[in-house]
Amino acid sequence: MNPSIETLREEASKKIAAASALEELEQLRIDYLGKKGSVPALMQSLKDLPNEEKPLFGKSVNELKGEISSLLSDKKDELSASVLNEKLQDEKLDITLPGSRYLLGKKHPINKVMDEAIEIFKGLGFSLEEGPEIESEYYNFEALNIPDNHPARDMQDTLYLPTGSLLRTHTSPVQIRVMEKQKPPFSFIAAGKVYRHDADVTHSPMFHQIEGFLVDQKTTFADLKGILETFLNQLFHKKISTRFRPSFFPFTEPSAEVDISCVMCDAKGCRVCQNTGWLEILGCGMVHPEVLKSVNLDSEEWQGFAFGVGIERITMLKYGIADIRLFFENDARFLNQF
Amino acid sequence: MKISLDWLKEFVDIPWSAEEVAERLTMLGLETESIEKIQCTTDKVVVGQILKIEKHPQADKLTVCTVNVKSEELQIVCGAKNMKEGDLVPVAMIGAQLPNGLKIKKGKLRGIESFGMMCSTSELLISEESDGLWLLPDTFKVGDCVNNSFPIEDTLFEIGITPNRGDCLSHLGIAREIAAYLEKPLKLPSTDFKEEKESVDKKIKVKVEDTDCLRYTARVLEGVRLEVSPVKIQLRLNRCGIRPINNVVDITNYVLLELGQPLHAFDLTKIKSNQINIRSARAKEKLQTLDDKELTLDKESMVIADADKPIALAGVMGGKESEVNEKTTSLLLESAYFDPSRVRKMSRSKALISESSYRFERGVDIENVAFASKRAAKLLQDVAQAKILKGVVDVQPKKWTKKKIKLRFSRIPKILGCDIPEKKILSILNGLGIETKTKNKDGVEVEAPTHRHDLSLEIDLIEELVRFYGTDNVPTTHPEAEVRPIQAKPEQQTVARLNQAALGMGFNQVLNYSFMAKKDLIPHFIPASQFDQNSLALENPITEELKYMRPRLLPSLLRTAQYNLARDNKEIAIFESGSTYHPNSKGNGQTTERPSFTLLMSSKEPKVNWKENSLSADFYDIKGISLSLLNALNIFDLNMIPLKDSVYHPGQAGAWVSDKKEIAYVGQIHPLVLKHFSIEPPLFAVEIFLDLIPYKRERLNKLRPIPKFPKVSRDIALVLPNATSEQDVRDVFNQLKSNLLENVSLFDVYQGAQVPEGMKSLAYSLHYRSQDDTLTDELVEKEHQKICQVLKDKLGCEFRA
Ligand SMILES: [Zn+2]
Repeated sequence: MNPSIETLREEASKKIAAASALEELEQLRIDYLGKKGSVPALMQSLKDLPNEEKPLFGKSVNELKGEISSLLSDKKDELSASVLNEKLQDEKLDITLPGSRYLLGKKHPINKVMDEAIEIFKGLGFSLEEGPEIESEYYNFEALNIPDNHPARDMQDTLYLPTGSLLRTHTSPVQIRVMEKQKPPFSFIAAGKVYRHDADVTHSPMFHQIEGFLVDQKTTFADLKGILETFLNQLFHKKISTRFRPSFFPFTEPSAEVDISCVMCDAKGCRVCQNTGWLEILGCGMVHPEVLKSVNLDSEEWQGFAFGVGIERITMLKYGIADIRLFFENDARFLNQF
Repeated sequence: MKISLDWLKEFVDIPWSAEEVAERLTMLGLETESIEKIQCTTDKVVVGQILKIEKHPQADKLTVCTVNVKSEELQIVCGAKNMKEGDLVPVAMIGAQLPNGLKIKKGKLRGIESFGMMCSTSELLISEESDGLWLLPDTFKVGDCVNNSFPIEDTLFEIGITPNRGDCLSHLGIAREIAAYLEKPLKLPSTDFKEEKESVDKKIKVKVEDTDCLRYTARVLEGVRLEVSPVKIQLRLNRCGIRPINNVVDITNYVLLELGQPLHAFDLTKIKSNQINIRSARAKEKLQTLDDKELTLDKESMVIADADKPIALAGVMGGKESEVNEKTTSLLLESAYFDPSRVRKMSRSKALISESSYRFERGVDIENVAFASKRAAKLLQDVAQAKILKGVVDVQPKKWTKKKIKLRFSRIPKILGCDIPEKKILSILNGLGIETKTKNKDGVEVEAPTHRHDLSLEIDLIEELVRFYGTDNVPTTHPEAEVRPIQAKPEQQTVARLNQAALGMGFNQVLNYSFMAKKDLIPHFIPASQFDQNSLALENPITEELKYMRPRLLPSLLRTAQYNLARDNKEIAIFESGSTYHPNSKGNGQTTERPSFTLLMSSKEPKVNWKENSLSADFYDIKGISLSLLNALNIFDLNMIPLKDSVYHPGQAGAWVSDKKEIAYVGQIHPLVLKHFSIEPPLFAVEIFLDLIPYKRERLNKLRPIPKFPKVSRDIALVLPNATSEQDVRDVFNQLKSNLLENVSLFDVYQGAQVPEGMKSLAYSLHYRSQDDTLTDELVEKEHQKICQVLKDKLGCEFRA
């Protein structure tokens, strides 16, 4: 082993290990491996050696060159990493400062609940139908078995337009319009604005309804109970108890109002349910033969159910809203909560 | 209506608690809206006699009374004035709790001790108001519990009766439902009375000319003593919401509440020629009603008339002139059946609603007419010592035929989805007084009782069955649905996409009323001169503020903005989807509804985020938003033209044109419009008229290949007169036929020192690319020069370095 190679190896590995900056390392590279560096110098001395020693010496110097290169490269990676690290340390931010947000808008709660209800009914096989808000007496009343001069008219205080048209008091006229245009069986819902001459904390002159309608050759009152229970369970995201309280609507028979176990107090009794544990939520019934007759369908052949849900009422219950007027004031502090 | 449990129990034995009664009735379709319990420590409220009344030494308004309650003599300080020594009064003794909640304790009033309280009727919840103590008649015995003579305690139900159930507008009606449910007999009240020898025919003649009077009965009573009613009658009337007046009127009302039959008592001496005619009114005949209104009648009015003139509007209200008064001694008692819709028409056209008209409209029981007359006669004899003439005049022009209904047993499971045992069916029908006429294995034929006007079809009977069988006993099943595709209609998809896009851009959805005030429409939305033909007004609006159907969504949104700004919600970013309403331009009373979408935006609220500095919105922001919205509807072939609409800033508004239709307005709201709504400018809006937009599915373009070769960019700045629009420049670019020019983008608009006065600089980046090869500099330079030349030729522009 050539002592000068050994000395150089030791010296180089010490110096490289001790280098603390990239500039220093570059100088060491020049000192050892540069054109005038120590390793090329050793290689120069090869020519003065006896021929038999030349191969071994040459191999050793090449090995040394390789070793120094590798040491330099490793050390360079090490020093670069620490430089980058320092730079990144300098770029440190207060990540707790608020980010710039791209806020999503808020759907109006009425639309939110309405869309939810529509989705549920779509899943149950109901399509969505629409009808005009400005209606005729015929579609709003007469075709629905509410004759003129009948006390049933008092159930719905109507807003009238000139020339006898009116703002629909319920979504039920859509039943007639769809049945006139299409052929049975029917299974659809109709959703939209309805109007009454009524305004206080729980009544709005404009509100929203979803009407459900299913007519085929076999649908029964028991099926009506099934569909509505499924709907209510999905809408309130929990198991809801219901009771079907016999009632009266001119366009259905038998008719019922559906009460659900109070969602505010879990039926224990509270102010909202007036301590009854029950909340009135919708009206329903089997489509009245007179309604089918008005569109020339034979009630011996066709039968089924209809129901109507007030969206405001459900939304008020879902979110604990006490005053219906909040929906139409559109205060940002209200809307932003949904 | 108010129903007394105590009263119900006279008709049927009820084994239930008040709560059970309420629950049962509710589940029978008689919705019990509230239960009011009147409770009292009845053994501590006794009859007392005032022995002595002395002045209170310290208080002018108080007296010190000595009251004998048999067991002792009590000193009671009292504030009332209507009593005298010797009077009988109810005395609440120490420890008593009164129905109104008051607890009686030993007290000291202005230095004088008081051992109890003398009561008024209101304190015992016999009446709503009272002035002074309740002076008891001498039938009461000193020391007795007051409750022995009439029940102070009771439970009152408020029951919502649906319009089809006129038969339930009485205690008899409600009791009949309970009896049917319990399968117990119904006990009818007594009608026993003594008749005079003289026959009623001698005293009164009745002629029915109007066939809407289906039955008229008249009874004559003489020697009537008009006075205050007995306590029990007063109490029941009061608690059921009718103010007692005198024994005669009270008894007609009592029977109304008891049996549901409206009655009317006329002063017989006021009936000219003792003749009653039921006829249509003659033109311009007048009637002064009991409530002091003068009605002008017409041939639609059916009246009860004497030989000369109308004395009552049939079924609605009696006349003032023939009203019973303190001088009255002989009565004509009317009990009748009038056609429901005729009564309703009269009641509505005269704006008179009475307890009578309410019941006649819903149909009373024609078979009950004579019974109710007898019942009232009996009570009048008991209470007012009436002498009742023999017999009754009973005119029934047409025989009433009961409706026959067939019920097929097979229809019951077909409609309800469950069987009801035949035995149960028959017992329900029987309990309701629905008489079975014939029966075989397939079904029955029944006759509807006269009190049930709602029964005429088979389905009506099925409803009765499910009511009494119980909806809870009907199983819950699921219809076997047929699988079929459910696809939203194009219009529904359009609205949903727009809403979703607006929500995604951070706008809140709002909902406004469809009606609004005139002042918000004039003059900007509808010019005053054209208001009447262009607006759509409600005939009977809730208020003037809610009278006009909105022709545009924008004014509602501006109100919403103003409402929020007034509440320090400074940033407006809202939208609404809904219909607008328009009279038909032909003026034929037809109307149109147009689906519409409107979005409103202010500058951003300052101080919301530490990092955002640029807060002011401008026209280009709203233009960009409107473009995104329309793109969300797959509408891309769009062109903006200047908009002339007085709602918008004349220089900062445009209309998007697609397929030659102006489908949307975009721009800054005119400051004068904002001023009307008390809003500081600027505010920006997009209005999209959805009825003009054809529904477009997603574009199904074939994919263009991703370029294989690099692009080369060249920037140019064009110096143009201010009047040249950017659209003019873009038109030139669009018309270029260059294979290499791939894309042009505007990256700077400059006006100022670097360009001459009246000129502007538009800087574009032009991207060149070939699909076949890497472009060489020479090739690009050649093409670029060619394009610059075209721009120069067409626009006359200079280029800026
Ligand atoms: Zn509750």
